[in-house]
Amino acid sequence: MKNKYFKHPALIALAVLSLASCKKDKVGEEAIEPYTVPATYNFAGVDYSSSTNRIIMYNEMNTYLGTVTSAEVSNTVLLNYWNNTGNPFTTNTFLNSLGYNLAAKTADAAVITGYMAKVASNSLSRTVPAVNGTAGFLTRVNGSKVIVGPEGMNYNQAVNKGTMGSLYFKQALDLLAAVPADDNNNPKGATPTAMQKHWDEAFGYLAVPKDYSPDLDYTVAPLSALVFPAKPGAWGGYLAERGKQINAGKTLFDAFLKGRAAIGAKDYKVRDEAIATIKTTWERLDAISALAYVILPQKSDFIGKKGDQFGYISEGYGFIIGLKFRPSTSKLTEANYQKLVSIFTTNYYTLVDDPGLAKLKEAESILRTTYDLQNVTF
Amino acid sequence: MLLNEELIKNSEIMNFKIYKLGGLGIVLGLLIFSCGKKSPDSENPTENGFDKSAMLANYADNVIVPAYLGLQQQLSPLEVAINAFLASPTQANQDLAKAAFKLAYQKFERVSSIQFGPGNTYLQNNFLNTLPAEPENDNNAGINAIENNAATGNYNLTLNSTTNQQGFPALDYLLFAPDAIQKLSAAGSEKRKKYVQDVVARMKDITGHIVTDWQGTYRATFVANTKTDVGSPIGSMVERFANEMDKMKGPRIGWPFGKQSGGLIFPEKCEGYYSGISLSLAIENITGLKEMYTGGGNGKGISDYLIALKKEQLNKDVLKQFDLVIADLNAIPNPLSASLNNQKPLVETAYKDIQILLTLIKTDVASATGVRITYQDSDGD
Repeated sequence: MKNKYFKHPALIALAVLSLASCKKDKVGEEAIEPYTVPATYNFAGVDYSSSTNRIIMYNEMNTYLGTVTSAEVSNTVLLNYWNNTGNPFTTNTFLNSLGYNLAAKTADAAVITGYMAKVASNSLSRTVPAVNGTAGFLTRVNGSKVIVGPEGMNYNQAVNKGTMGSLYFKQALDLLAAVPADDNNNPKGATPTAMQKHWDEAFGYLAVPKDYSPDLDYTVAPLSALVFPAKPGAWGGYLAERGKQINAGKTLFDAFLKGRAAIGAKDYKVRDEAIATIKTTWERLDAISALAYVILPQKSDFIGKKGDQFGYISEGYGFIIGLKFRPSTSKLTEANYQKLVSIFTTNYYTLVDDPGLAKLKEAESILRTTYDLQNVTF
Repeated sequence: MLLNEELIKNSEIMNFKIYKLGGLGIVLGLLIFSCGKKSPDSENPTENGFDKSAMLANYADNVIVPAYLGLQQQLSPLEVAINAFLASPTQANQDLAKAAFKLAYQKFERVSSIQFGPGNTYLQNNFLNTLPAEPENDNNAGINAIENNAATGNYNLTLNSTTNQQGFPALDYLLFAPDAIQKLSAAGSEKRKKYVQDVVARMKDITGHIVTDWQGTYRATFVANTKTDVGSPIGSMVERFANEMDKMKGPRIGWPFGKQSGGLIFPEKCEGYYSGISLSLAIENITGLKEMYTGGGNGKGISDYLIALKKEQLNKDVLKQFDLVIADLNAIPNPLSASLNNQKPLVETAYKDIQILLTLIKTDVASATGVRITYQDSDGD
């Protein structure tokens, strides 16, 4: 549905104002034709299937990773999923013949495959109760199990959230970085242009459906019955799960819509504003997710309950991995980033016995202050 | 789809908001805000003529502080009786210790749902009552740690990792397990006895801090904040009601009853298993929770707040369900550990009614009072 704002007299005045000022500021350049920003991502020629398909690939791999609580997980099988070799995909078999994979587009992929190998090796201890120094299982308050390494890390989460940061987030940033230099002309009128394609592929990594709305609850029926990509996944899911308090869903979706529409009209000023918004907001979404997983293990409901605490801290670590790829404009200093890494890779048995949970509080403080998250609660 | 169109329309209105300047945007923002779901006016200390500040003062002065004082006062005779038992581990002294233990534990059940404010700061439930069925005690971790502490004398009960080695459950085991008298009489039992005394001392210490804070600066903070957001007094109370019911459904009754293990029953995971007082503790717990819900029954409780919010029927339903659960628990023969196997239909009836009460509080009461339940966090994936 078209945006109706141009019908409002005040806005017509505003539009005239901006057109007029365009003419003044950009002498000799083309004035920008008025354009509408749609409410859904329905632009002509949109194709971000390569992004979507990689997420589907990861989801299948993640299902296999999840069997670790009850069965041995094979590193060979994991690598087949990762590299798309040996026809590994059995639910979505079309993925097997695509010719691309997760590995090649993941930054610092060796870190992730290293964690995959740990999931596999720790799965051999899945029936052993975990203690400090011995891999095994821990039980959570809700009855589910986590498999942890000798120092308490749940490597499933390191792989899962680490991939979200090292692949989806990092790729989106790289694609958006390429956009300003991309060709935005199509002499034959075909769509999309190279610039539009990169933009769409970046949007694809946000993993929300074209008609996404932050007002919808995809976790309850009937929407919960949908399967990705018909409903949000990965980062798309975290828009609601952890990003609500910073309005991440609305901000990111609107920025992607706006920037894409601006590209169509060659309104590069607006496009670049959208890029800046996306970079800042996506990084902040990563940070608030990490923050949630620092706050939760401190709650009295989870003190003494290592399964829950270690599960949460491991998830937090996965999100910290993503911050490694933060834009150069990030407010997180390298010193503070290294501090966060150091806290999240401390032996978790030690970390949760820290008097006053000082280290977790320090991580909390860094995240709250750097990303202006003083008042969020989890 | 109409819903989609509605939402897209709202989304358009939101887009509209972005592109506008100043004034109109604010007006529109207010319009959208006021079109939202009607929830209790959390900023207003008086709602429909109901004085929330007076309610909080009633809770502080007539329910919460007396409950903590009751616990504190009962810990002294408990310590006396325990010391007598340790000095002379006879059956008679054990019986006296058990009687004092039961009274003190019952007092604790009255404060169990007050784990917010000072109770939260000092982690009262974690350190005084990590239940046998909670994950810390999986694979006999708690008992193994307790035996190790009793043998070596090496422990630091202030560490978060020692929640399963102290409090009422640790005393229950150390004092009333079948071989307790034998172990306390054995040569070299000095370390074991000292450990028992250290556990008691820590319980007194934590309780003392909580009482001091409530009688000190915390009361004023509590009474002054009439909001219902996360962390507020009302928000915390309702949230803790739900949490307490979840504990009843889970580690207190459900999990020993096999509800998380495909029917496999764990009698030894009942609260107060060794002293055989599981049912009296559960009844005290739910009775105490009902009193927290009503605020003592003098017209200044959450139940009365609900009536002021025009939720009379919900309040009636909740009160009725409390009484049903209390009656169900009273109908189960002592000890609970045996009834789990021998009186399954009675336990099942109690379990079902507990589930209903849990839903009423966690969903309906929370929604009616505008409280967000935060304790049950999903793993995300």
